[in-house]
Amino acid sequence: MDGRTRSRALSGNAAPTHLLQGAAAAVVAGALLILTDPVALHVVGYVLGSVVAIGLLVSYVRVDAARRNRPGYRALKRPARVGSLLAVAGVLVAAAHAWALATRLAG
Amino acid sequence: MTVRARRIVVAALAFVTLLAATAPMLTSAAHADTTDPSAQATLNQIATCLNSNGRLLLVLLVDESGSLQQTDPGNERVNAAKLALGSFASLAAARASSAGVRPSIDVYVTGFSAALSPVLGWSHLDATTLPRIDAAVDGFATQNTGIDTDFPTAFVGVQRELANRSAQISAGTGHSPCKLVLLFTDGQYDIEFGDTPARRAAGTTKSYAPGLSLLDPANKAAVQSDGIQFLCKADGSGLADQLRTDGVTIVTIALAAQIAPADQQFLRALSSGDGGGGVTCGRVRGPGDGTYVAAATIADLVPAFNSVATAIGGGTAAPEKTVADTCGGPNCVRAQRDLTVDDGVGRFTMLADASSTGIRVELDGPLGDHLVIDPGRDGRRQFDATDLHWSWVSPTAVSIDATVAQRGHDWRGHWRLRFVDGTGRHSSAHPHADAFLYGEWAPALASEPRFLLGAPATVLVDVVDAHGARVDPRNVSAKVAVSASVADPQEHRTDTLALAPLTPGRVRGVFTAPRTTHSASFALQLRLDVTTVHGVHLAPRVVVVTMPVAVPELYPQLVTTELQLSSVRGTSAAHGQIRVTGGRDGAGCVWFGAPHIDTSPAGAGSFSLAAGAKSRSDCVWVDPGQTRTVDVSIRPSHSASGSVRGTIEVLRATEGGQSTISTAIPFAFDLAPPINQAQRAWVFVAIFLPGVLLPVLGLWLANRANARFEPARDVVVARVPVAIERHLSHVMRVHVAHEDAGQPVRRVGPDGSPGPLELVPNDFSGLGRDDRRATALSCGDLTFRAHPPKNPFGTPYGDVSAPAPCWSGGVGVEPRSRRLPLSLAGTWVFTLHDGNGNGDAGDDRWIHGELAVLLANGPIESELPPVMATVVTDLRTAANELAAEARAIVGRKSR
Repeated sequence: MDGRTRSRALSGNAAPTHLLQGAAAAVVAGALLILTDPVALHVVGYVLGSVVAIGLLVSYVRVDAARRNRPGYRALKRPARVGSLLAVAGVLVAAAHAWALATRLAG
Repeated sequence: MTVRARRIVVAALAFVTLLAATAPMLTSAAHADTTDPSAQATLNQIATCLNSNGRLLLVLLVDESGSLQQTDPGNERVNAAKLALGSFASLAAARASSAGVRPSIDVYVTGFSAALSPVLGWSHLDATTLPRIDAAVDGFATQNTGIDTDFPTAFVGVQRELANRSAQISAGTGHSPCKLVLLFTDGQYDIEFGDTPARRAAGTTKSYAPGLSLLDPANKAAVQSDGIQFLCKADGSGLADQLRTDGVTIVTIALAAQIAPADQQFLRALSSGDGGGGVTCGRVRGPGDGTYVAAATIADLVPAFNSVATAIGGGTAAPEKTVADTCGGPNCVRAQRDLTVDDGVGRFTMLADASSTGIRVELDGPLGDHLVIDPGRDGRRQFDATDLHWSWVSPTAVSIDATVAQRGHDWRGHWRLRFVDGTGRHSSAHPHADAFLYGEWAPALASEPRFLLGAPATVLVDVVDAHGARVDPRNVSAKVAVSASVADPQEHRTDTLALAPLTPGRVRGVFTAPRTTHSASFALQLRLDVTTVHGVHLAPRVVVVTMPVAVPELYPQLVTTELQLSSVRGTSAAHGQIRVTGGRDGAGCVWFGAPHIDTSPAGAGSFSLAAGAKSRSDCVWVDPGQTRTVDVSIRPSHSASGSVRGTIEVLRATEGGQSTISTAIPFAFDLAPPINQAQRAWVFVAIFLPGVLLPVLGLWLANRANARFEPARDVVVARVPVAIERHLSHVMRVHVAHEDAGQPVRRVGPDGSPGPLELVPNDFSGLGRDDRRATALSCGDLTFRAHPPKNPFGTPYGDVSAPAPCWSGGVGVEPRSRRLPLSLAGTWVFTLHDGNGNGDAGDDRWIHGELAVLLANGPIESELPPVMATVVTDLRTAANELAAEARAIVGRKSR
């Protein structure tokens, strides 16, 4: 995120739902890769479920927290619950891929 | 005699035997190529397997020993390997075979020295993945510092990788893939001994020679003897035999210049079983198990790899040779290579090596097209009715591939490739080109015959072109010969069919399935031999079709004629299903006998039927016309690594009938070693935790950093004394109703009398002057503190504390709590006022306290009303609950 984008993101009055949507998309994409075979796809799925999904959630929390200090900010009603659900789903997806990778490496 | 002494004696005897056996061969330097019958048998077998099966696992196993720095300083092996991979990739891109199978190739690229060192895990090989795979192969250019050339260790790793991959594929597709190891080496089996840092780094023992230290040079003979025994034991338990049992074909390409004839025989034996001169490795089963191709010089390496890959792809070396010319002057043709393309040829490839960068390559087609191939630049174009593309495999060598572009286009005739010396100064160059022809036609069944025990079946075979159209032999100049045979796998018998022309391009044969056979299916092999008008015998096109064998209709019929069981890890059971259809007139009964194992990896022990009807008394009944699926499971007694092949006997009887029909259904499955559970758990934890915990830790740190209030100077606060009406009883409510109901919250004036709750700009003053975001703020006796959330995905928040009981509220704030948003603007805090800070000092009607209203620094007209609305709606309840709580506390204290 360059400086201009960052300042625009931080100065908005709407919740940064695109980050939550990105996290959800990463979780879904990671879940779709669970049943695939190549190791590389398991690595991709693992990264999507862990680093990408949770990283986007981290970004969401950070932007949301910054915007909450602004007057007129329209926060989501239950951001913690949405974030927790996505995080749990991401962790499960990452765990599934980590298990597949561990099985491959230990086989 | 000690164990060590015995090993030395055995080693000495082994070497003496080896030397004695190889002595007669010392003068015959190996110049075997792919035209050798044994090599052809091997490569044709792989081609047939790929044609029929469609799936190939290819292991590129490349020597990394330090001797390569001398034998291959220019890294020709890298160019050669890339050329071969390119040929395999073009196979995968080729049209489907006449059996309707499109080749699919997975490649595993690995070096070896003291151990296997993979550079690329299993990867699908096609035109799109080829650049990535080539990039991995490029890494071999610098991998030439290994201290050993340890074939046993390398092949242990290769066997494991193939077994694992094969198990995965067969679990998914139901068919075991073809398996090929392409081994490149420049030396003999060699282990370095001595107490050196390199030796210690590479390992001081070998698994196949336990107890023998590699630090002690005295152990050399014993260790290498153990290694040869491990590989080549003649009782079938050696690693080479295990690989052959697993269906693995080894093709060794050796840079033979530095390899002694005896060591070449060993490599040949390792590849095919028979090294010649009495040198063997495992059981010798005949041609087709593997082959050894020697590249006499470094210049022969690329052609050697190319010839292997093209032969597997169905190519035939064209007979014409490169003709050199001793011309002089500019633009002289140093050499030229003619190629005649006749009927029956659908594609040709050429590998042209100019041997000098100053010589250009030109191509002339039969219809008059002319092409100058730019050095170093790959390309593709339409050229004399062909789709022609070329790619440079080294600075001087270019691979050319021409395929007939469209049906009906005539591309037959004489092609000429010329090496032109533009300056005339490269008289020492020796350019040459190899050409390979690929047949266009294939045999195909015109209709599917029905093989019924004891009944004659008609077999009709067509000759078809690449588009499936029948070829009329009268209209082509090539000599076409179709043959067919039927192999009975249980009786180990093959019958050649007598074929007679039926119509142009179609032949007919008759086969009667013997009543005595136990086979569930026969392998119907169709073979097409094409000899061009100029006498080139193209590689035969062989198609193998599995045909089920039907039994009399009164008996249940087997729908499943070949059983691919699930792959197995450890000693778990391999599962499969057999489908049976009921007989014509009455119910039938099906049960299974014990499995018969033809081949299994060493150490797998015995195999038992773990599930399925095992006798007539518990047989599976199938009604007429009904199709039933019967589960079958076979379990090994011990875990092992490799492929298992065998048959399971299926017995069928009619209801009330005494006679039974016994049929053997072939089955196959792959065994893989059990998963190391402890290792898997550790790896899982090592992978999983960082990936999840690090982002969460980052989130926690972000929350901690974000847990700060807005700068104090951005917030203004008004603190006013207020009186809040208590919740009254019904009587009191009636009593006060007539006075001034509807204003339960009032501002207390300077004289102590309650008045309307109104705030004006002058009531507000700045919360502070600090322009930094702080974690704590003070406002009189109110203290605000910022906190990160306990839930890492929650929002940082602030809370307020005061000497007296207090609660907060505001826009978007949970009422009756002490929790506040970090902006503070739009919130209020009510503090119960008792003068001492610990109780309710109000009277019977009013609760007294202080209201602090916090707003963003700026015009208050727009911000104040919503905040005051929350004061009106929430403060009375909050104050009453707070007062009741305070009174209860005071009461408890007084008691």
